[in-house]
Amino acid sequence: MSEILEQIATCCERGKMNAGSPYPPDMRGQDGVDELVRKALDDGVDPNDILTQGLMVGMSNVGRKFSNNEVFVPDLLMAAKAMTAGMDHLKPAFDSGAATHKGVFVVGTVRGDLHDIGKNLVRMMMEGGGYEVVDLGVDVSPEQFVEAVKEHPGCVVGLSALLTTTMVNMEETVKQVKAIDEKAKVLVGGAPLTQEFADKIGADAYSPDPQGALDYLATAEA
Amino acid sequence: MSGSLIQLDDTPLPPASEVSIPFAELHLDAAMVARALGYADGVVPEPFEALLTDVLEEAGHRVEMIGGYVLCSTPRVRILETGFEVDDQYFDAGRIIALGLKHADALAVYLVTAGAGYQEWMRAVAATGDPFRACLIDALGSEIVERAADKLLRDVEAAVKPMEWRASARYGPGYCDWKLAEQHQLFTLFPEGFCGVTLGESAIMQPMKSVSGVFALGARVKHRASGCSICTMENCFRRDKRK
Ligand code: B12
Repeated sequence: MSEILEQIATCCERGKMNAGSPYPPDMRGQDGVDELVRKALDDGVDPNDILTQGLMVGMSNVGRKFSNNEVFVPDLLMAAKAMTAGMDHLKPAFDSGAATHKGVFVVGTVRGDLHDIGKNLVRMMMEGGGYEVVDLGVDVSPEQFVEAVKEHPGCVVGLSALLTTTMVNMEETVKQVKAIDEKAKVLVGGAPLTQEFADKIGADAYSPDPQGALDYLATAEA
Repeated sequence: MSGSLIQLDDTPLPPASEVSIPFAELHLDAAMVARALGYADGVVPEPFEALLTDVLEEAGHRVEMIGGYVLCSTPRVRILETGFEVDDQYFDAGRIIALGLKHADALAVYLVTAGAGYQEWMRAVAATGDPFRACLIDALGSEIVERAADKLLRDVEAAVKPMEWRASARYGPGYCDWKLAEQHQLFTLFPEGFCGVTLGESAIMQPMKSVSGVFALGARVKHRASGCSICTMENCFRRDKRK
């Protein structure tokens, strides 16, 4: 991996947005994702490589540390913020077709549930993992998920629920999504869920954290 | 069974009351919120700390914290092996909670909310596209309402102290083996519109930053371990997986 891609990965992981940002303190004054991505593009580095070998590596590193309780929600948010700073520069390349997303990830908190912190973290990490994310918000009905799946054929669907009274609504959503596209992958997550529950309702995967979902998709697609 | 014959009228507390809980009396600091976010030693890395202090300061102006409780005493209340009864309603709260409420002379059924203003603030900040600040406000809101519920319990306990009653820990639907769906049944014990909290079909309270539950009061009531120390949720982000 070229040096600049490595630097981008480190800045993204550490949440170093730009030269002016005070965070993290030990990187004060150094270039951040913003400057480095711009420089890489100027140097003619392929936007796809900047994404997959730079930003995504950084997000994956912080995601793994989060899974292991080595870093916490604020660290994840800072990394996501840095990632966004880089993505802003890559956007023209995506718009022109010079770079491509891995696929579309449709995410939402299921009907009856209003918890959104977890879902928002999943959204950020999936963006960081190279997916184009369609966020349906909270209190999302099975019908709304179905509409989104119709609109984005081949998408992966992510369902979030934080309560035992609402996780039961996941089953109906999985059923309806599978009825219109049996190959659509449905991932589920949220505090009260278990692998056993995911199996019972016919979801393709359960993960206690966003990184696990990315890992699953990486192996499922390989 | 000395205390068990004490009627509601004998307690120094009104049977149902709503109180506003001043933010300053919660004595919240950045370290508490840091711990709630996962930083076990209570130290948030720079510059989160400055942000947190800033958010804490503004939170004081945004919360409209209301707490309330309804007191139900014996013989209206009966604590059974795996649940409890209030009047003719049975609450299937499970063995652990029933043990926690054992020897209750009265039950305080409580509700605490950080208020609609806090919810609105959270929503407004999230809409500005600053997920970082929004997340801190969210985490702080959770901490605020839990600490406010602790304060409500302490205040009620102080009020019954002259009777030599003590309070148990707080227990609510959705914890231990108490099914969240029983939140609906619990709400039948509150007057209409109590504390300005409404309950949705899926048992979600609005505003989101609200907690409900019960605690026991009585001469022989014990404060047993509750909360994180007895939780079995393996994938909780608050569990230290490094060990
Ligand atoms: C903070 C908190 C609160 C806060 C508010 C939370 C909020 N959103 O506003 C307060 C203190 C107000 C609160 C209140 C209540 N709470 Co509460 N709360 C929690 C707690 C401790 C953390 C939730 C949180 O913020 N998590 C942080 C985020 C980052 O984590 P997350 O949402 O789980 O998301 C992560 C993963 O789950 C995963 N993920 C999530 N979605 C998805 C989707 C996919 C596809 C994938 C791959 C991954 C994934 O990735 C995320 C990042 O790692 C949880 C316990 C827990 N450990 O989760 C209980 C918990 C959710 N609460 C619970 C309960 C019971 C309540 C109350 C009903 C208690 C009561 N009787 O008053 C009330 C209800 C409030 C209401 N409005 O109705 C229960 C629910 C259990 C149940 N039986 O349904 C829990 C699970 C606690 C428990 N029993 O152990 N709560």
